[in-house]
Amino acid sequence: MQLVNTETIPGWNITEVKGLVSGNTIRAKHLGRDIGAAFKNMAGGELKAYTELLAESRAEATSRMVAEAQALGASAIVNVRFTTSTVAGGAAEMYAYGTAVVAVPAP
Amino acid sequence: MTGVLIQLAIPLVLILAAAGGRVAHRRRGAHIERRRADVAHITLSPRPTLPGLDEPRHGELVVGSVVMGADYIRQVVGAWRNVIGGEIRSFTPVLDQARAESSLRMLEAANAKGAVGVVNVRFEAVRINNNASELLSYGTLVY
Repeated sequence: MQLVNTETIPGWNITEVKGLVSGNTIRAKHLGRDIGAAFKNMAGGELKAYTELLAESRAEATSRMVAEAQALGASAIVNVRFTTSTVAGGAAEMYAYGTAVVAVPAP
Repeated sequence: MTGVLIQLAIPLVLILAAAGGRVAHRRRGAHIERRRADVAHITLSPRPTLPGLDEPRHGELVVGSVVMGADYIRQVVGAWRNVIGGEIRSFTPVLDQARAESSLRMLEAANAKGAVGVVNVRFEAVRINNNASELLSYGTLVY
């Protein structure tokens, strides 16, 4: 499965559009991590626990999107976009979406 | 007596934490500069194509992200600035550095895959809590 955030893939022809595919996940922060982060916040800097948590969640949302595209028989997803929003209670939603297509190598 | 000690200890801890934060901020800046040299050969573009560089290859996304917070002193200065209005100068370097870090991570991931460029680069910032934000960079690899 090829994933790009451009409209086309160089060297490949898009022969069929399967439609919009998306994947999401809502992740709550772990209490222990939250307390640790509150202390870390006094000194500023990177909050590694959150960086990892969000990266994991984004990978999860992406794999759900890929699964949807595979179910449609697509071979690539173009125009992939990521969005994140914080929803109630300090939880974050990761959303990945794109256009599932069938791409064949250009002759 | 214990009450006085506690009252003295709290601001002291906050000031020490903020001072440590300043030092760490400068150190991170130097670290970013050093790593930048290793990925200087990779072209970054917000445009979808790079003429002469888009050799056909397997299409692939690359992502870099970091969650960064401001130290206590910056938060207090920022809160005051919110009352007066104007640019919050105490936050500008924090976000600037965080974005540099996230795009650097993206570039390092691109470098590890042997790419010569990242096109259609997008930057995003999302507020995680009152004083931490996630900076996300992503794009498509070009070989």
